[in-house]
Amino acid sequence: MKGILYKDLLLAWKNMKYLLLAFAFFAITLVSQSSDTRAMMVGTYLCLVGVLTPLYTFSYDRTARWDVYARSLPLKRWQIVLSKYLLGVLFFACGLAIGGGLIAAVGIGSAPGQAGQLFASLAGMILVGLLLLSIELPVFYRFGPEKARLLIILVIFVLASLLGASISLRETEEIDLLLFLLSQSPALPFLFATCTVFIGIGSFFLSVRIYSKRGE
Amino acid sequence: MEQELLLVDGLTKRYGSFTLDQVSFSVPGGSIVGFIGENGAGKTTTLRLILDEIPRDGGHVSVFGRDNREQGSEVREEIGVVFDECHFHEMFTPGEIGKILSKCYRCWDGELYRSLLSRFALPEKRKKIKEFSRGMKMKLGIAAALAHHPRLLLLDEATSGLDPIVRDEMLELLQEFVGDEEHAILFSSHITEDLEKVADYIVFLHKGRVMFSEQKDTLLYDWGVIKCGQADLSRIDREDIAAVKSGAFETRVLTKNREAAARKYRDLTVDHTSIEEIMVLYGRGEEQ
Repeated sequence: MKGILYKDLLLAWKNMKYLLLAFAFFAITLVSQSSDTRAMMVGTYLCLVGVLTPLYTFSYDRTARWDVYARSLPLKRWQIVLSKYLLGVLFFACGLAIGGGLIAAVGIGSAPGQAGQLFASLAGMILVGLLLLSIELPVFYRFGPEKARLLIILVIFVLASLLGASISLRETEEIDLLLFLLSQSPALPFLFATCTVFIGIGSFFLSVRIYSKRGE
Repeated sequence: MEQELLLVDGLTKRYGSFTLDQVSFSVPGGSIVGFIGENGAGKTTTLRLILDEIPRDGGHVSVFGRDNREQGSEVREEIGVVFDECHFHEMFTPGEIGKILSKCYRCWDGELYRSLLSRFALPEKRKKIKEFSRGMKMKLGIAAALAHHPRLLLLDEATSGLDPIVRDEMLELLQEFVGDEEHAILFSSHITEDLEKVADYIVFLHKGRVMFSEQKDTLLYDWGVIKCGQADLSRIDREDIAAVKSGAFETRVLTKNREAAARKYRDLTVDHTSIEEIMVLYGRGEEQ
């Protein structure tokens, strides 16, 4: 499995110039922001990369019809599927590490509790990213990257709308997901994190099932 | 005694209107088995079933004496596969492909891979695959398939679209590969000329069924074609007819014993045949 994960990382590396270009554009929008917001947004960007990277590796795989070759390798079906999940998780871990590092760096000397608040925001984004990954991967395996891309946009739109509606209904100004959940009940952030992990595990088994049935 | 490296027994797969029906054949060690059949006959499906890429509806596949389903990934460790097209991402170089595959196969031999690239005059790092010609891509596929020391090679139309020089180079390499009893090749191809050069056995698949599995020399030296007119056909005994194809000017009858047919029908022309002619007579001939 190391081989196909390495292949995906190599693909991501080859596309790094596009990611950096997108990041440069993104960075321009951050110039006028405060340093803590910048740190947060860098974390957000890396989470977004975590959601999108498996998507474009799927597209490249499809163009090369790589899957035909991958199935002839000495790998089990679940290992081929797991590599895509690990790829996303790896980017989220990088997002957490880099974003967290930046927050820690700008947090020194800032108002007490501010860094903790930023960490909570970043963790919330990563959980949402993992949730999106759990939804997108079975859809990729079932419908291919083109349809999956549309569905992901739809899911992001629905999730953002639901969150927005929920915030306005409860008349709160808290826009960070985990902090918003915490403001409702102390148990909610942990429940959300646990649910995300279980959905992720369920998503993996569903993807393995869909992938194994291909070609029947 | 020859050891069977691959044994396919009663393999069945149903796809809507198409059925791969009770396919059975074997690939002995030290041999090249040509796997022929018209488009859609089920050759690629059979190869995919051997690799356990798709579930089967019946039958059994044994590779190196092991069940291909129960020990799928272990079995695939010892199989090299070359497809009819290059499935490597075009932005990679052969060197990067080598690095990826070295992490996939336990027995990956980087030295052997580099020596094969050098033998095929393929640049390891300077060129991306998208800059390669079809011949170069197929050579890369062969190098990747051989570099983990497989015992069995599965080739799916691996020489199609290649010029005669590259094909000859590849055929030479395949013959080297089966130099001992430990290695064997199942070679699916439309280019019967290649199989006449290198194959030891021929398995012919037609509409999902094995029509015959024979030694190549038997086909080329024992089998024959009786060329006659439509009126002469009634004189030929049914047991002498394997397949028959009537044309506007000539009727060709495939027979499995050319010498006996020549003695029996002295007034008719009985010629040697070729694998391509056998394929055409079975494929386009009338049902017997």
